Amino acid sequence: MSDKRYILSFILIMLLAVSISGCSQAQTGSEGTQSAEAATLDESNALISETSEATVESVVDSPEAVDEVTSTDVPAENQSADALPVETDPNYCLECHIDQERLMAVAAKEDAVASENEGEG
Amino acid sequence: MAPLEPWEKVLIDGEVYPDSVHGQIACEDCHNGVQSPDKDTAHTNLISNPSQDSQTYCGECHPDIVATEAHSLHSNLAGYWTVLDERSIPADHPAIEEAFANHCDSCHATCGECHVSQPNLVGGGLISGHVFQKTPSMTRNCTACHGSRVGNEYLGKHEDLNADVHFRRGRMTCIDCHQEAEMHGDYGNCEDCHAGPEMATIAPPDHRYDGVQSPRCETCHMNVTVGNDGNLFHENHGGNLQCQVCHSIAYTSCDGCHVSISDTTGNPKFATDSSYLTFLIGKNPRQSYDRPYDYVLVRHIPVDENTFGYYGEGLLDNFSNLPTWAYTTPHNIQLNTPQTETCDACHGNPDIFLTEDKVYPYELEANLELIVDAIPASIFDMTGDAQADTTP
Repeated sequence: MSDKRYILSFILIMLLAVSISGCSQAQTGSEGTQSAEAATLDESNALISETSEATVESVVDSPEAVDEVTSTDVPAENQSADALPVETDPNYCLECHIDQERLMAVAAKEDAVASENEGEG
Repeated sequence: MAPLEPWEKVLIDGEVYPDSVHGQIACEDCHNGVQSPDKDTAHTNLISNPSQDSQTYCGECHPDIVATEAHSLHSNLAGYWTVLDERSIPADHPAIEEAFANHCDSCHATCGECHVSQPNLVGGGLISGHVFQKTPSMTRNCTACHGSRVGNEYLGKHEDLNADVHFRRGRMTCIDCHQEAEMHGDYGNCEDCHAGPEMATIAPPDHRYDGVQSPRCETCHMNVTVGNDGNLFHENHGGNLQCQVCHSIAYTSCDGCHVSISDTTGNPKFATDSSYLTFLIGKNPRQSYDRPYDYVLVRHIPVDENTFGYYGEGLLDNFSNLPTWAYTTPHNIQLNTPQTETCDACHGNPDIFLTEDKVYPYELEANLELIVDAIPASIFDMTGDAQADTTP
């Protein structure tokens, strides 16, 4: 995770440097050079975009990554809102518990032990 | 009562419950668990009966009720401990406590066992699809536990014996007499009604027949109590006979309860030697300001010297400290009974009094204070007038 960030930062710095250099060259003027730089910039943007998507996917797949993102990457002022790891459904349990057929299929058979008490209740 | 099927116990009413007040609370807030499609994972650390910790799970919204719960006999089972302590010695208490935990503790009723599910004693299970009910169900809550005597008598399940008139004619349910305050252990104080020198704090009862008699017949039948209803019986006996002496019919007595752990299932179990119908008048063993009667109905209770024999010999060392025939209030009230037909239905009739010959010899010592030594003389013997014994 840290390596990826360093790579991304390095690419961005390099692009910035190239961009500044391009600007100064443009002032002295070569259209061909501008086209080549634009192509480089597009590739770099695509690389950043791909890297970002990959990062998001890896975050979703990995609980540790979620912790890392929430603990280090999110600005402090937004941390409480973004720290919720998973959206909880207050009625999640009802999905099973209102479904009679499903309950009949999975309810523990061992629960149905006949009482041996005599004169019960 | 027959236990519910396992699936039936946990089926929630998907149409009604989510819109109810308790349906606004997330399941996990009370029952713990984890949101997972796998059953075992979902039930991790599941709390099936949250109100066992009523302070945590009920107290936030119902603080006034939870505050008095500890005084409720349904919650603290103090009645059991009162008699067990009296019949035993402290050295035997650890063994009795083990037996109590295995066999008696299931009578403890939590908030939920009256208001949302059947009691654990009968296997539990949601009653109305998890919709909480302010008033417990008579048959699925009250008589689920109090069924073999009270339920059968009140609902008229004994062959040839009528149901209680309050049910038969009035369709009254348990909660009509045994109201919220009693159930929740809120027994009130003298000063709630009296501002004079009577002011005192009423200690919580340690037995069902301890303290203020509530409910009591006189609450509704006041004219009977003061003897101004023109009834000769009421004029003569209003204060010295428990109402049930004249207005009850045969009721259940039991013998020889024994407890043990099943070899088959490993579950606690109990069995009684016998149960049978009785109707016997004894001397009042609980005579007090609240129960002033000279004569009351008595029943044989199932306790036995060896009730806890499975857990050790002689655990009830002081067995004879309490009687085995006990003050009782049968729930089979009738306006007209054999006793109300004539004065001599009781006077001079030894069959309906607890006399020495009706007590097991080995229980005589324990029951001396209840045994009727002299049967009230017949009206003819007292007056010499055969016409005197007429229906009032």
